[in-house]
Amino acid sequence: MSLSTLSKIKTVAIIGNPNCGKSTLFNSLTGLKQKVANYPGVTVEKKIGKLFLKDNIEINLIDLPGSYSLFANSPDEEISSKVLLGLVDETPKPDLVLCVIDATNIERNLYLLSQIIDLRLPVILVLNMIDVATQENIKINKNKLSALLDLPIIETVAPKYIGIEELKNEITKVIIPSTSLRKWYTSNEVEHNTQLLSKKISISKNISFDIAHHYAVQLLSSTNSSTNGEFSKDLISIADKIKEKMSFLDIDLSSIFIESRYHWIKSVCNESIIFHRDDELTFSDKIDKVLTHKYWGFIIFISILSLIFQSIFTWAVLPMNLIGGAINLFSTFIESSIPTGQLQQLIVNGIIAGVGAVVTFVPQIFLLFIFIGVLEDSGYMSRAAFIMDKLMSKVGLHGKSFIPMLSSFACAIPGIMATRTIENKKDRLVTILVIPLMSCSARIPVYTLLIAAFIPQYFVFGIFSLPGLVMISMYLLGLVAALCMAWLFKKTLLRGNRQIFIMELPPYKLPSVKTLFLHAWERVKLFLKRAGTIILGISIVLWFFATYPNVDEKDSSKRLKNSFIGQAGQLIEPLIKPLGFNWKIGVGLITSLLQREVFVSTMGVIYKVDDSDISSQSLQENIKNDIDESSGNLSFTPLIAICVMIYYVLAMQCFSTLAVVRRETNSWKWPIFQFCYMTILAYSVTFFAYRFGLFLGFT
Amino acid sequence: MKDAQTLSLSQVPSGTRVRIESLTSDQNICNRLRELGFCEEAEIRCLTSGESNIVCEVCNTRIVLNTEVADKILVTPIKQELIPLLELPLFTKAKVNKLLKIDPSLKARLMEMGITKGTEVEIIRFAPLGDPIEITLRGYRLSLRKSEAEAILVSL
Ligand SMILES: Nc1nc2c(ncn2[C@@H]2O[C@H](COP(=O)(O)OP(=O)(O)OP(=O)(O)O)[C@@H](O)[C@H]2O)c(=O)[nH]1
Ligand SMILES: [Mg+2]
Repeated sequence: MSLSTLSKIKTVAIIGNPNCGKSTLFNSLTGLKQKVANYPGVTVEKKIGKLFLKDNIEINLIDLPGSYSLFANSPDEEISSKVLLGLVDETPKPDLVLCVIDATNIERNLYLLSQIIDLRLPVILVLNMIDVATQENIKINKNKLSALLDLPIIETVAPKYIGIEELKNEITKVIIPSTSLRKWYTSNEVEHNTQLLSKKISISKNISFDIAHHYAVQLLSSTNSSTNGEFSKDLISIADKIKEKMSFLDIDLSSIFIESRYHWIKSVCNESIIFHRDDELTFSDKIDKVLTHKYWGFIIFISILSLIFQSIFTWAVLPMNLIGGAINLFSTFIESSIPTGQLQQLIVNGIIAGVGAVVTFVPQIFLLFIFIGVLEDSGYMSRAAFIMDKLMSKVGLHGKSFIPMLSSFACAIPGIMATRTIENKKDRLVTILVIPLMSCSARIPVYTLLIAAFIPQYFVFGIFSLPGLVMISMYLLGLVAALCMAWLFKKTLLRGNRQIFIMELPPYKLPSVKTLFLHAWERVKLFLKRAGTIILGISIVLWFFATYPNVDEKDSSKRLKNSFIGQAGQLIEPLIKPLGFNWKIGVGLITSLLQREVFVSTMGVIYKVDDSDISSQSLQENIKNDIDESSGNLSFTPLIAICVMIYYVLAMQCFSTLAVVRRETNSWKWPIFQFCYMTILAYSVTFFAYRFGLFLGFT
Repeated sequence: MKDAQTLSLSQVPSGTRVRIESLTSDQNICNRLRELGFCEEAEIRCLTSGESNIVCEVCNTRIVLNTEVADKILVTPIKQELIPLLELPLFTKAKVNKLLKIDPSLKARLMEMGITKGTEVEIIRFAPLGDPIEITLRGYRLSLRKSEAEAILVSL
């Protein structure tokens, strides 16, 4: 069409039901790398990207969280409907909507579409997953459907870039304003009264009639209690009068709008789709028979998790050693090529020791993200929620809370964001509060370093390696602690009934290798970036504080002891003595308040400075052989190593997580509370573990 | 068309196709359910029914509901399907429809105990390992081994 209509389009929003492929489409259109996975509720925040059309026209494309309806039920759905209605300050109201519809499930997906049509927003219908629909023998008469809906339709297979060019083309041809009108009708009385109310809303809120109609439907179909402050008293009383009148006529306003919509949808589907359905179980149903089985389901789930954590520990050993070796070589190379002096010391003992200690763990981080990616993209994630629902309901939450908890094995921050899919406010808060107890990837370096140094390679029952088992126990400890604390919070602070649980189970599919690797690589890059910035910075500062003020002291351990860090560490030593920790660990605890993996780099720097004469030893060995001067004992024993790990499982040592909790809960109250309860929990559990260990005769 | 056939969705055995009669929970929940396709008159299929949640097929998608929700969805079975007694959820009344071909003496024994065509039965307990099960019929309780119960087909 002409350039004039095109120039009117500045913002285009992608909307649709959860898991229909919106983010995949967004990625294909913009070339960005939004997270894609096979379960509902992956995207929980809007994301804006640039879309380039022909003639160098640039458009803002918004990816939105999936939603079943514009009448939002949870915080993530609210974002989508607010953006569409133009209620978000920083994003302009979209000029065009790409409504993505899962071709295997047109009927339900059309419901949201009908709500969008009603807003009189220009819409292009994107019929995604055409490949799956063809496979399932669903025949769609595209022209007929397009005529019935009065909308342009583009068929796509988003991950394979099929239909993307046509879609871009279609965007340039869109007609503004939309010509598609509301298609469904209720009954005469209801229509009449709704129109009446819509006009009143339109005048009082100064909005277009179509949007006012949307609000009128919302107002009329909801119960009194749920209509919030958005509407004035007048409007609410008019609505109440209408409701009364209708109930007198025996019309149920709460359901009539939805039913009328579905009634229309049914007729559209009947005319345009041939759907071959029988009672035979699908492939996914057959897998589900086993994976969600009453007993087997749980056993399989636990085995999968154990396998993951065990293999993170065992499979990564070889590449880790390689990286460690390379770093050592590099270190000796630097030592020989830079003249002895403070600069050499800084580079070798500060930077390489600190950053290198962390970089060694890249293979494990990578493996973990691959494994979690497989869980997410195969469709197993929702099944895990289903399986855990029973256990979760014992602590007062439900299965949906488990998905964010499971993603927190990777990192707590996306986990906390993902709680936006939980409808109930209190349940969401409880979930946020316990999420940091799940062992995230930043704890892996701590666990691995200590396990590799102190847990002997020994096979239990001939198959389970003891180090692997310890690793699994740490993860389990976190999970159990999270469940117990959730139970406690639900019983005390955030009391509430058991909530309803409604969740879609996506069909299983083979995870896409490309997405898996891309995503894992993104995360590794992030990890490396942190190593190159924060950890580098901290290592330099640490080295400085660990070396000065007594640079000239010949005995390295005396120098360390009287350094700034040594003094500070000894100052706090009494505080951590009851846990069996010496001052060096104490320094690690403090520096890792910023980020957990800093513990490893701190140990790297401290021990390097300490034993700078025997530079060939690895960090593991240094830790193992370190002797505490004051007592003459080994400063690290297996018992102490376990205690340090327990402390790391339970303590809150991640400032970014606290910042996200503050953003998601809108107050400092909850992050502060979270920090306090977790620190107290970590301290007391570690204390008892240490005492118990001593009692059992360990040292 | 409310008749004795109406039951809650949580009582429906796996594999049964049902029509939704009415939704009786809180209005907001009802509306969400309707938006997901659980409209009155809609036909859905129960895929698995467990103790605390069930999976059903609606509009070609699988949706999990916990019993809090499912209890308040009233449905009627569409077809008179025969299902094995063992697949009947706890506390769901059903009528004995058929005894499979089994050892004649076992069959006679079961019939003597009162398990005859048309008798209303209800499972009231599964033992911890699933065996035996306890059912009520004709006003009394009967404990059956799984292997014996397998022969009994019931209809809702
Ligand atoms: N076969 C096939 N799979 C697709 C297609 N489009 C997306 N997928 C897959 O569907 C799954 C969901 O894709 P997403 O892009 O994450 O879906 P979404 O709509 O953004 O989901 P939410 O953010 O949770 O609302 C992923 O596993 C994709 O790989 C398609 O056209 N064909
Ligand atoms: Mg998405």
